[in-house]
Amino acid sequence: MRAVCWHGSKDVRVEEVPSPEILNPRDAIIRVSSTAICGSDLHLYNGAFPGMQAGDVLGHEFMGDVVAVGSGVSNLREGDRVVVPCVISCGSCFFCKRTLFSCCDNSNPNAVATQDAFGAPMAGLFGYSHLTGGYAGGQAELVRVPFADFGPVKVPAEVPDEKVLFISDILPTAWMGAEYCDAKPGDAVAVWGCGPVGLLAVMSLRAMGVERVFAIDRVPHRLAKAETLGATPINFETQDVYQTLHDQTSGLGPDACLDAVGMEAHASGLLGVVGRVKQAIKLETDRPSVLREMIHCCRKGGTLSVLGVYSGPIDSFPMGMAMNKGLTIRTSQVHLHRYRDDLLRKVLEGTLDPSLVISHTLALEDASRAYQLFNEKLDGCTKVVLKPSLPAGATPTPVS
Amino acid sequence: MPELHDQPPKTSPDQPPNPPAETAPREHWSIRERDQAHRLFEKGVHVTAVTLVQRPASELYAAWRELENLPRFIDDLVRIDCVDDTTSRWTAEAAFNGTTTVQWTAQIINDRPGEVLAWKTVPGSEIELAGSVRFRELPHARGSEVRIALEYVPPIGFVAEAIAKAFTGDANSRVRAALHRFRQVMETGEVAISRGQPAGESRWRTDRPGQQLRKTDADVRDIADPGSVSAAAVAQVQP
Repeated sequence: MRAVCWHGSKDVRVEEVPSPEILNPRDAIIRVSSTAICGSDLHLYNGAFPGMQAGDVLGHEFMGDVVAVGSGVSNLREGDRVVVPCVISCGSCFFCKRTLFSCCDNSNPNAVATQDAFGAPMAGLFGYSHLTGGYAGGQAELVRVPFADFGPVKVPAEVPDEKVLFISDILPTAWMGAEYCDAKPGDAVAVWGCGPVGLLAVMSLRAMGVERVFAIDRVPHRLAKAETLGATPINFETQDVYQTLHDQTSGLGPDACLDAVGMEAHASGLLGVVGRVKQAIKLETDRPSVLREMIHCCRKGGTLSVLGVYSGPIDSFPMGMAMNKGLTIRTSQVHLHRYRDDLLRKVLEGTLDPSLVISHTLALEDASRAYQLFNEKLDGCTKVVLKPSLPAGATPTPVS
Repeated sequence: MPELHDQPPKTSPDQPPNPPAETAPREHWSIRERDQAHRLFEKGVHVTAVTLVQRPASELYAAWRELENLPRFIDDLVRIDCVDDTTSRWTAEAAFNGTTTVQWTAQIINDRPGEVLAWKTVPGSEIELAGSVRFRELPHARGSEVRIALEYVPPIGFVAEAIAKAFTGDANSRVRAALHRFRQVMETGEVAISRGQPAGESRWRTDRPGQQLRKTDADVRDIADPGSVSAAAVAQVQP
């Protein structure tokens, strides 16, 4: 089969690799109809996340048709159309029982190694390094899905892929982040980052009834999209974020701040330069400028909702500011199975339309170009969907 | 006191009894105290690990009591053959090369269903080894704690022991890995693997072939109580 393989920093190739097989009773094999590149894939693309090996198949946002199931899967059958959660969860461990699905104890074959790295075994994710299990990802024609009796959600045949694909990751991620903000009537929420997750967080917050949402980025086409979704855009290259937010919130600061950026934040000024240098020479794995700014801007007693991906320790974390302001920090990988069914219902009803964030649909064969477009935000790129069925070289089709 | 193998503490003529005699039973013991008080062997490697499993203690005990199951969780074991109800013949890969095997005969020295199982090599064995596993259901439906302790004295004196000590860290992660796999099978009916999938080679990879469970679907059925694991496992045992 054809698959998108990681070979190093800014080096992804579409290659012929062996097709996956059923290895465990609870496995299924999915033939991918649509898959997307996630902002977190860019951390791998840029070589910022550890534990990757040349040849690893990328991708954790995908959907398609079931082509085979193991002897332990009774709820799926060949031909079912499913969206697959990016987080692999067993459904029966201490954590899954408490709906902390992204903390699953049983889904990572390399759990002991991650326990050494993080102090606790991490759950398995598709196509996201050997730290999270070394599972082959979904940017491929076929994928093996473990615990397939628990994760995948069936979708009706008549709904287009574009509407439901993002239930695999970014829609539940954004929704969870919006929920973490715990916004009360009258509250204002500021969202850092207008990539796909930031935009869907704006959409989610608005759908939850939050009246005032600010969206912070520096890419004009993304800020414009955030504005159409109902946010007040703030361009951090031309506006002072702290001053603007305080001016707009009666001098208090936003009641909650949401990080949809993560470890490769772009900051202006000296700290931004220092961060990039440290990351480049491996003194620091993550650049936490968004976290610092959120702590600075948030109102006293407010909440930080951290969705951005971080991998290691960070320096210059203003803990004193966070402590004295009485902030609450809420963060996790997405506890996807908690939101899956409810969000599918909202999408089918038309309450949420996550397909609005798609800017490009390309052939899987053109993944290398797709990564470049997305990473460099070229050609108005916000979100790329890859289709194994499209012929190589098919013209990039702006969807909206 | 939740001692290691449930044996009486050692005493020596030169030293006071360890732990010191106390008038009332103590609730809390430090890990060090527990370690020192109840080691069966003066020398050798000593490792412990603990995990939490979402199954009743009785079921977990039952899976361990079938000693033939252990090689499916513990990497280094090749096979265990039960001679009678308390005597068993163990075959393991030798610790440092993985190609030759060592054998020993073990006797169950403590057996309280649903609570504890402990075993020790018979006198005169090539290798001295003792192990125990305890099960304890926690209140508030948190699950059952499984605590394993292993001691062994390598066969050829203090040089080998020095080497073995240097590898205690490795032994620790092996025991942890064994408990991790035990939990996976008991909770999900299978062991998560990504081996055999298209991917780059990785030093992170711990499921390399040499560490694979020697396990088939049928084995999983044998270990896990079909009525209690998961819907999937249940479905799997239906003819």
